[in-house]
Amino acid sequence: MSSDPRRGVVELERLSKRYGDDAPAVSDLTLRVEQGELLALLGPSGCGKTTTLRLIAGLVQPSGGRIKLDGADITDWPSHRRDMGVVFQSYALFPHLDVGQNIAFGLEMRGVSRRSLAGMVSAALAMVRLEGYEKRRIRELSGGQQQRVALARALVIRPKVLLLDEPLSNLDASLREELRHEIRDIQQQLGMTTVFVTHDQVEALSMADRIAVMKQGRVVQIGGPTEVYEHPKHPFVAGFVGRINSFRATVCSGQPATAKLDIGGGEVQLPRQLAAGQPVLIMIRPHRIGLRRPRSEPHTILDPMRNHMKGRIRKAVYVGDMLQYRVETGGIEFLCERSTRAQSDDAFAIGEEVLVEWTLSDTLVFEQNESLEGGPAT
Amino acid sequence: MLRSMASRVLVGSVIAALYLFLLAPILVTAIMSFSNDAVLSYPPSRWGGRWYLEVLGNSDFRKAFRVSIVIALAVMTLCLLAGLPAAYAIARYRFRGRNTLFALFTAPLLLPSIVLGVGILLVFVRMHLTGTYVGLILGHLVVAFPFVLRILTTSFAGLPPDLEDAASTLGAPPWKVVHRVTLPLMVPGLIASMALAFLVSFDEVVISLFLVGPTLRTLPVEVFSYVNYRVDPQIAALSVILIVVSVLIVIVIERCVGMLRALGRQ
Amino acid sequence: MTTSTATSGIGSQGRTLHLVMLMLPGMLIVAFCLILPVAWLFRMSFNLTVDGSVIREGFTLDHYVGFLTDTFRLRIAWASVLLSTVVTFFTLILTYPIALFLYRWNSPWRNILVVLAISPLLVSSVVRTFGWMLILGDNGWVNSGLHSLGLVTAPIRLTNNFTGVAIALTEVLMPVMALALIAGFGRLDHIYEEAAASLGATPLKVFLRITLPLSLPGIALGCMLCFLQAISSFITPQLLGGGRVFLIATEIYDTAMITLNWPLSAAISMVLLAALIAALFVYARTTRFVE
Repeated sequence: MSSDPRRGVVELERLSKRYGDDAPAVSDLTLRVEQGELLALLGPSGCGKTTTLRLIAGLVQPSGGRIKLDGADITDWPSHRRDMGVVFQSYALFPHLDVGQNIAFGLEMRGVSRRSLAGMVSAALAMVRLEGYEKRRIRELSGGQQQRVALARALVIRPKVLLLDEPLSNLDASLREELRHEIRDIQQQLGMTTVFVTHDQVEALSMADRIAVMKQGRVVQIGGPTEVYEHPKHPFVAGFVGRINSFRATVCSGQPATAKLDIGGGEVQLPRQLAAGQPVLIMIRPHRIGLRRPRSEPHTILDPMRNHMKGRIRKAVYVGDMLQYRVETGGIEFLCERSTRAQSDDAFAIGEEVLVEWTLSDTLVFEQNESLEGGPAT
Repeated sequence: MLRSMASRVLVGSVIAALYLFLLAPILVTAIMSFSNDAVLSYPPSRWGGRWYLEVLGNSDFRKAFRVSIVIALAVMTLCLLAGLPAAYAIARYRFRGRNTLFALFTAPLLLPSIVLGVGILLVFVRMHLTGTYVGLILGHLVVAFPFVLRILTTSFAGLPPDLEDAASTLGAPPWKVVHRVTLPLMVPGLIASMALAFLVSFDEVVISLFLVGPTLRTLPVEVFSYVNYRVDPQIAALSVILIVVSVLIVIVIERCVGMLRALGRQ
Repeated sequence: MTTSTATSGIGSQGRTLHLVMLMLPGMLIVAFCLILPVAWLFRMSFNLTVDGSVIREGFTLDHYVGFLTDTFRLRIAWASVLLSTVVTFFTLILTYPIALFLYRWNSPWRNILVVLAISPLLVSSVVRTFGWMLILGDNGWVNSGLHSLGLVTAPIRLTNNFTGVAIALTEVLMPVMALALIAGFGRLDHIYEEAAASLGATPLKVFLRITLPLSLPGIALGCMLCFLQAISSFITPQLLGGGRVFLIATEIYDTAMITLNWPLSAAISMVLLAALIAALFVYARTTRFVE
């Protein structure tokens, strides 16, 4: 729609927000959202993601730092001049106006003529698949419908940036998934720069072009879904995005690089060299862990590129598309996941002896300078 | 949920009796107002609407009625002008002393109006405000204002702040937000508080007793003086007119915010 | 318009100014019509009265001492307290069943009855008291009814005495009690009664052990409000008492408007205020204790 190559580029420079004497809600945040990309702000509650969104929208004034839109410094601009579309967690649909009037509100504020209004409103409703809903009252709508009206209202004004504050968290699971795809489709169709706040990592992974994982007011890692999932730079990211097993260990001296687990004393090979005596955190994704029956395999020499541990199945949980096994090995418990599409006669029984294995390259190692719990993920 | 028909009838009768006691004076006054006797005695020998005509023809009552209406309208307006910003501040901002200030604003509800009346008399005498419209309006303001403030504060607090944020992000400057979102949603609360302020002023009698003058009397004071000396059917008819005004206001308040919320405590 | 509820914003000084401007009209009203009069009363109560009605500026405790040593006035004070207590008690007895019934009743008519129970508050006290004069008078409904039934030969004196005032005041204050009780019940969840019943409690036990205790805060509030209003009520005692019932409020009025002994009136007012503040204090303490 626009020929301006820089339309909808958001830059946050050293943005911070403090409330009184409390710990800062947002701290030294620097980030750039590219034109047309969907950036997810992902993190636990209280991590500052909603505050960041509200700072971008102009609903909150920053304590420090600048905000730029397409190169212009908008830090001091009031929210009604920022040309951004916001979808609130509660949808914030005006109860005293009907659906059509809600959607037309932003257009009226921009002085769009009456004649053009009707056409634009029905086009917006068609985009969210709610044709003909103009005269409905807000209280007659279901949660999903309200969400779509809120989206239409934000999009009809053709904003430079779309901001979504946990728009799906009030909906039930199946609706959430359906709307996830719809929102993503619309966003890509329009090529609209979007910032999306969520605490649900599945949402972030499935929708975003890039994910910014936040904790305590800071961005801990930012990158594409694969990168954040497969190559987390920080144990917090590894643990927050997806399930993971994690154990404490101490690096042993000598070659090849190995570490001794704090509990159980088993030895694990490390993918890179580290200083002897260094405490580390070892993390492995559950679906990267393989299980083998120890005696049925003809191999007597175990693959040196893999880590192995002997264990016993403690629990098997069937969750429809996946089987989760909890394997007890020498004091620590592994969570292992296998798709049920794999041969069903391969299923393991409780109490059965198995060999737990995973490749070296799948072993994530973090030097321990923060306190984190060990043990299998939930 | 009650077992037998008998216990249901018993409970129903007891409750009905209690309600009858509660509404007795109003019902009796209404019935007696249609007595055509010269003296109020039960049972009336003749029925009719004679005393209503007398009331409407009584120039003292008519004048007092006009005075009360004028004062009530002024009180209603001033309460709104003072109450809207104060309620907005109390509902939307968190600041030290907010609760104390709110308690202070609503203190007149707990204070005996007789004490307030004497105090106001002493102050207003000094300022030559007794027997004036201004004096009466100010005297009524202080007792009507707490009601208005309470209703408006509840109304403001009931507005989700998200709505104003949404309007702002859609491009509405602050005054447009107030005009297109805040005020329309406040209309029920505004109507209810205006109705209540009007009625409180219209019915106010104790403080008014201290503030009326020889040429300026409000309707309740007129009724009070009248009743103090004699009891005749004219007052019954006038009372019914006042009751009707009250009933209309009750209906308005109930439709807007609900009586319980309007008069209840937080 | 940022509806920020935190302390951030325009800058704390700009914000304070903004707040003050919003509250200014209200504060002016309160200052001029509430604080000033009460303060003036306080000051006036220490002035001297010469020859019964000339007021001279000064400082004396005569009026307070006079009040506390005058047996006539002390009896009035005592009568006020006694009357208020009796009235509050009966108001509670008569209103609690209504509130309980409304709490338990599930019907679309319920709301109408709630409004009906509270609405008399919006009818002028003069009108309601007049209604009671019609009922309790010598030629009123009660006496005429008893007479026509042949139960009495001479009318029972129900006006111009404490009895009449007590009866009328009870009814006048019932909506006040109703408001407090209904609101108090409104905070109760039926789930507690259901749980008790499921554990085997009989309806009586449910009421005594669950409903009644949980409704205590509403009862306390209602009693406090009724007592406050009863002890300061003027219209009903004045009209129904026919000038023969002496209570604190009527005394304040008489000394202010009839004998024009303003310092004395102020002193009595201060005593009443002190008593009210004490009652409020007791209420605040006991409710905190109960919680």
